[in-house]
Amino acid sequence: MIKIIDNVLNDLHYAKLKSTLLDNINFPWYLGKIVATEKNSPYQFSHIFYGEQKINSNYFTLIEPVLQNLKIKNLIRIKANIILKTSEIVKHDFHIDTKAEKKFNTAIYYLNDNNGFTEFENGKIVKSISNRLIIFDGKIKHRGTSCSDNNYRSVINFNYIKK
Amino acid sequence: MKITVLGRGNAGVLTALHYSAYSQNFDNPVEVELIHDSEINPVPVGQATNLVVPQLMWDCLGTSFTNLKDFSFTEKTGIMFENFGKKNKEIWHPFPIGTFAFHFEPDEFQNYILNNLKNVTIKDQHIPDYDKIDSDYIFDCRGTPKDFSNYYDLVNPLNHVLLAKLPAEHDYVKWTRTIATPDGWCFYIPLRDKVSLGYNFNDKITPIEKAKENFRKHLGVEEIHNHFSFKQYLAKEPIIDNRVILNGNRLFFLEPLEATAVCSYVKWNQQIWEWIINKKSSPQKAKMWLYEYMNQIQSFILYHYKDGSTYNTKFWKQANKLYEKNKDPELESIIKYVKNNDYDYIRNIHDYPNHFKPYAQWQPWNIKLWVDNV
Repeated sequence: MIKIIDNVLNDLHYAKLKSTLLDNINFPWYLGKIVATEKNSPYQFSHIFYGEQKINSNYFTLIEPVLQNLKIKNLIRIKANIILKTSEIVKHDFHIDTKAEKKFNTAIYYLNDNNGFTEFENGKIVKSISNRLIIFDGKIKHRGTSCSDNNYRSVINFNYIKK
Repeated sequence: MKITVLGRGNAGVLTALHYSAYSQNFDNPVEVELIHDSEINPVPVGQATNLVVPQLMWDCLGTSFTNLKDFSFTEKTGIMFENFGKKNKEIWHPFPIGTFAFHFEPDEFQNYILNNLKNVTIKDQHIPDYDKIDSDYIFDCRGTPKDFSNYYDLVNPLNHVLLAKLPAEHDYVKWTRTIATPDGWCFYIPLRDKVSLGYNFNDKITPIEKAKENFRKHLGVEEIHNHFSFKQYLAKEPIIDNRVILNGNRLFFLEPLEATAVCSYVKWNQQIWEWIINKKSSPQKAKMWLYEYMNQIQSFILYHYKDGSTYNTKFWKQANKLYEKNKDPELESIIKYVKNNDYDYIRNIHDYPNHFKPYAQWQPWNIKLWVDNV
């Protein structure tokens, strides 16, 4: 089951998060390949908020209002991504975010509106609507895409073990 | 550099004062023009400042008690919260010893500043659009927008106010009274010639007629001379095209608990000054500061409702849930420290010159007083 929560943050929490990540020359984005995609391996920019069992970012408090909506026992990884615009929507490969855990949840928070989406192996598609959060069993294969109607598509991925 | 200020309400006159006065000793002072439309009247309700506005007026105009003949303010040594929370019937929110703010009538206050502005060109003119203005920067302070499509909603339990007056008190209280009621809360602003009251409530919970009845019953008012519903909002684009800066009710409106409005106008002007005058900031930085600051104000205002009041009514049952849903991690952290009496944190003694880092307009001491007494 995929749970969708729209307008998950109040407007000010959303504005603060979006302006800090996407309208701020000082926010550290790091270049890397989209690991889940083997063919043509496009690049993306990422920022790891949490990984290797520790907070990895000075901006962690920004995402705490999102965490309040997840029933978290242990965090595994929290990573924000920016994928730049392509002339046509490019679908990446189906994947799960980690193979290190047997039972975990994945949540995706959408930072901006665009025509990209998240697709699940059963064909279900969730559109990229800003301030939307989706939560699903981490073992369900899914994939992201680029977008063609905005300069970029940006999401934050949460992997965690639920309570 | 030339700036044009549109509007002569609180934000307009304070912006014109800020930029004309603080740049007067520059080699090239900022050329300030204020354009207002005399067809538009100021909001007719008594208002209050906190400590930022008196400091600006002292700096720029030398305003003190001696100016009582110019505009009839009354002293404000803090805010007294009555019937809030469950522990104490009264909760003080005092200003530091040696300081005071003031209550004022907006039109008198605005006229006083307008009459004392130096090197500001004042025009009475209707401005249909920004393209008609030949200035480097425009401060749009023309009040409530007509269209809210480009505004964020702020979270708050109120949406309506009833206004009334009571006769002036000879020995008036030297603070703002903020009185919890069954339907929300009421401000009680002692002015020289009257007391100005505003009964704030939510008309989706309390019908207007019932609110009027309760206003009369709990505050002893007879004639309710005005009432209006209000929306609470913040501009999505507080700076337009790196040239137009919104301020006042054109920038945001949040309910009057804690009297945050005029202080915020001044603080926003300070942020913009860092960008356009000192060149140490940018529109992006200013915007980020604004969202952070407004988030802090929204959060601490909601915190005031968290522990309810002496009234166990539908309004208070709904209002006290809003903080939990919208809490700010930074405020939670401050609350944790002040509850534990971590005075090192409160005083921040390891960073003496910058101690008392404020949370929006509040020092940790203010937050501690609330947390301990509510």
